[in-house]
Amino acid sequence: MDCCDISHQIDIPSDATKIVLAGNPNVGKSIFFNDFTGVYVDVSNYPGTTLEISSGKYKDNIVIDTPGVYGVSSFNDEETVARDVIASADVVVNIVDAVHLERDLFLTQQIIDMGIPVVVALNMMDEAKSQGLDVDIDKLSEELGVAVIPTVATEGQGLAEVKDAVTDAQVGHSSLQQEDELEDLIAQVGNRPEALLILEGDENIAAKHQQEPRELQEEIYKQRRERVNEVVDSAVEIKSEGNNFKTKLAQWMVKPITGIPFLLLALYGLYKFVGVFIAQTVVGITEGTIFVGMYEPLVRDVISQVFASGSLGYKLLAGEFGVLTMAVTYTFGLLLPLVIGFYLFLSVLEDSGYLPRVATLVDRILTELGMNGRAIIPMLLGFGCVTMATITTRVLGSKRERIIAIFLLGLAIPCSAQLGVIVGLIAPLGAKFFLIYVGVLVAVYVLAGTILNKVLPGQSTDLLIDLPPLRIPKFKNIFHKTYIKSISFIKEAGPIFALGAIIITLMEHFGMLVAVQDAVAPITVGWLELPKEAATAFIMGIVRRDFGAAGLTDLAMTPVQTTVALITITLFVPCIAAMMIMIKERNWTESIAIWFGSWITAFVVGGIVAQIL
Amino acid sequence: MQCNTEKKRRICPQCGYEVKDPEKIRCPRCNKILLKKCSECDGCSLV
Repeated sequence: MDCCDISHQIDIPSDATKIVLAGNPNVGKSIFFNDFTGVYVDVSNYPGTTLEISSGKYKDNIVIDTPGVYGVSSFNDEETVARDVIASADVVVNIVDAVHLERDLFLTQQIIDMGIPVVVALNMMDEAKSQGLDVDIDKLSEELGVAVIPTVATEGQGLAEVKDAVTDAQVGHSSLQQEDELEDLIAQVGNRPEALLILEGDENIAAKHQQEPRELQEEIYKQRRERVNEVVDSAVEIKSEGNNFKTKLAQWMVKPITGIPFLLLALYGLYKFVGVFIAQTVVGITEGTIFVGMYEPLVRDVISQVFASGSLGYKLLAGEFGVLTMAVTYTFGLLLPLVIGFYLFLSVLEDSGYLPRVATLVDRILTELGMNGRAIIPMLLGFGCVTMATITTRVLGSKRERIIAIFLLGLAIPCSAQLGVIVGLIAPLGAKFFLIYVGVLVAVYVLAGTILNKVLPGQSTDLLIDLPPLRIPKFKNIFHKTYIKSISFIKEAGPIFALGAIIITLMEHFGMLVAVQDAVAPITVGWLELPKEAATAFIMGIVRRDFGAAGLTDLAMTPVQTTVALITITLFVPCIAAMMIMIKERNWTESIAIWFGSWITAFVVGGIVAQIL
Repeated sequence: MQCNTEKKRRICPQCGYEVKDPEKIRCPRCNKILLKKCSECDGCSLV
């Protein structure tokens, strides 16, 4: 077969057989490629894309790797490359994830429909078995019309059998019902793979052969999907579901009676890890010992050599709110450890497959608040960073759900940095004040959600979500995710902190801070019953909420005042970064409404609590 | 999930296939569950 000449990309001897490895993303293709080719691998750039093709030798044959794709077409660069390489293959070794057969066999069936000899490597058989999936290999092979070899690539099982099967690879049973039209096209185009792609509406391949792309993609895909579902139904049996512990555990996590204790346990774990271990022990070392104890005196000493103590230059750089003192200490000594701790925990929940189960568990509750279970993902992320959580509200199905989620995120969800400071302030006050704080926030959250659910037109959409199998997370992935997110946090928060420090220093230097404190005194002192200086914390909170909460640590307050101040600062306006994202995600009008809504809610609720207590 | 708002079609967030049929719950190509309603417009929604 010689339809798509890729010899200008890869040096291929004319008599060599082209063995192409194809499969969906993350099915273990690279293990097969390494096993086929050993260490002798060439990597070539693919023209017109940023992608590279790896190729190597197996006996006298050329083995070519392809990017992971879900089908052969040209939706993106990966697919374009995979399409050309697959269409030029003499034999395709199709690596299939045994756990996701319904997903992966679409590509298998498409390659079979192209008329290319195929060997199917049914990978991850160990995981399929542990999930109670019984795949009838002979039946699957019979239905597809090609050899199917069970493998566990990570342990080297079945790899030799796959290589042996390549020489006897066969063309399987086509699912295509438009054979007559295809035959006509083959007569004009000269080969079946490209003729099929034109039939499926591929504009690039059609243009190459001066053909008009046919409009049959939807019909053919529908037929292929039906065929794949039939094959899976006949060859796969879900055996004794619930027999193994992992399956049972996964079921318990979504049932309210057992799932709520699991959720409470996870939240308790979050509190112990981030709120206690990181916020107190780790931050005690990073902020207290390293930054305040060692770094800041050193900086003040150096800056005082250049600027006179008390001058604006000194204050801006090394004063109480200095860029090199407070901003650096808060960013690296206080917030960074908290953010790292939170993302480590969240990555474990994500990679273990627990998060989608929490979504299922809380679906009914969140539906009452105008969202659905999916909203738990931004809500939990909000405990890490409201700005990032605001971006992830895109997972919600409608504008209405996104408005509600963004408002509730901005209003009542404290971010990890703020949470750390809050925990540090409220923990010494005892259980009573902790429960008052949590109770008020939950009440405000539920009330605001319920009101928005009633007021905004429309209704929440249904929750449709795939529940992935439970897995033990891989440390490498968790640390990688945490690293990426933490770096992104520093890049985003660092400049805003520096800006905030400059604004506060200037306000303090020119007496504006005292003026604002005096101006809002009727609210802070009269209504909230807080010290006048608490106004500074609120102003700092406009820059970043955690910045504001951290500003409360220096004030001498009674337990009641601390609780009121923390409730107010938690409900207070979202930080500048979150506000910017809100404007980007929604619009100016909605964002300003949310901003002022938070102001009013914070002071009204804080005042009511102050008057009651 | 993003949609082709001009054509009023949902785009599968996993494989990029444009799903014309508003009744489809899963992407025919990669079997991914699709949101019923597009986040960006109401034009291609089911409800």
